[in-house]
Amino acid sequence: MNRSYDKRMLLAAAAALITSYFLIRNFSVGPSESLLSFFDGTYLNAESNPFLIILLLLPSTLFLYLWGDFFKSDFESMCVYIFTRTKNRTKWLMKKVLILFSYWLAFYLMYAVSMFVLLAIKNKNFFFLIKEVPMLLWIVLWNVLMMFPILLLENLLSIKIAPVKCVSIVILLHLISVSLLIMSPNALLFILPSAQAVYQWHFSVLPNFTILYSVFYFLLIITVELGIGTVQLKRIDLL
Amino acid sequence: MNDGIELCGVTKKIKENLILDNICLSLKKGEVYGFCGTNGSGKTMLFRAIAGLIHLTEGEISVFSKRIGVDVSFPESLGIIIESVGFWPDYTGFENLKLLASIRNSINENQIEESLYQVGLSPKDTRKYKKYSLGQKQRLALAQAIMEKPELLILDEPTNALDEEGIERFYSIIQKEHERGTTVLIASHNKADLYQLCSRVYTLSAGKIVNEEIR
Repeated sequence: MNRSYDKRMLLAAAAALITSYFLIRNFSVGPSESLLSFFDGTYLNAESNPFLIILLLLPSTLFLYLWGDFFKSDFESMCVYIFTRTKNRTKWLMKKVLILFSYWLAFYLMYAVSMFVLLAIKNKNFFFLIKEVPMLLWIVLWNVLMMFPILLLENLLSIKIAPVKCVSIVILLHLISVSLLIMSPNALLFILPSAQAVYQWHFSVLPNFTILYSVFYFLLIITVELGIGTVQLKRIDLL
Repeated sequence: MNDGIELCGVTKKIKENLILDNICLSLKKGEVYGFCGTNGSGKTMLFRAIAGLIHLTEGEISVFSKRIGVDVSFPESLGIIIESVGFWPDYTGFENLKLLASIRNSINENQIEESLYQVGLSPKDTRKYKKYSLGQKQRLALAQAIMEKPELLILDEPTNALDEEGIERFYSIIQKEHERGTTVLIASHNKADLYQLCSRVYTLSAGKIVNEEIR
């Protein structure tokens, strides 16, 4: 609905492509394992070079930065014209959540496609990767779902707090969360949001840290965020 | 319940400041009403309250038998111009209106074009909104307010930055809307505008209605 977000998507896609290039260049595991490992947590587990770990997180962090004011932008420009055309504020919120989710999904798919294409070019072979595609799509979707609460929280906070502060708070929390996981994963798996996104850990780290647990965690967080967000949105004056 | 607009004990405080002070008003459907007053008298806040954009500290407003904030969040068929609201700067005037019209999805492109012609703008203008003059921005705001043929028009300082031709067009639009049965509320510093168009003119001061003139 806004050209500036289409332009931001190009920027995020460029970051994903450049990151993919540098990560693949430095990756030493064989081609049939490498594509999934970037998204399922194996790479994060195995890599000890902090620069490469930061590089892996860079595109999603950039996306958090660029989309931190997605909800707020309606308030800043045309909230009167937009809200008076919707039946109620909750309907506006749900529509924005869906559009935000679509951008987030499109970004992650672009990230995966960049990796896929660059890896195929590096190995001069598309076919060995084709069999990974269904699993890759599932893991990408998993990443998208599990990381979405962070993006949503950022935008809900921005309705009341300046977007710059929200973006800073959320990115800082995200990076701290990932750092804590890398330093001592087992102790914090059940409570840290970023842990839920690491697909591979649901099978190899702790017995009760299951897919079902993370799905429940996700649904709970989303419900709480949307519930509080809806109440706050109904309370504020649209000035 | 009056099937027009009913305000009962309408009060709004922001922090310790009393912005609207116990306003009671009964406005008939299909009439044109004017509101005047100095800066800070409460005109814009009153309009925001009727439009459902703010929560009242006390009191109740009903628009066409629906209580705002209780039965509905916003009046169901509303066109509005409120101060300092802009459009998306990187889209043309037509594109902006098309995006807004897609929310309700109740009009087609021809009707959007018609509203632009009515205010003296061209739907074929390829300039982005950020390149518009103040007067053109105001005309676009007016086109936005009338394009979906609302039952209620709330217009805050609608003739700001308009030239003589723009003001003539505005008068003609209000005339047509009145003939269509639209209820119109106009706030203006320019009493001449209000006397020309309105059946009643209310004066606000310090959040209260202090005078009512029947034209």
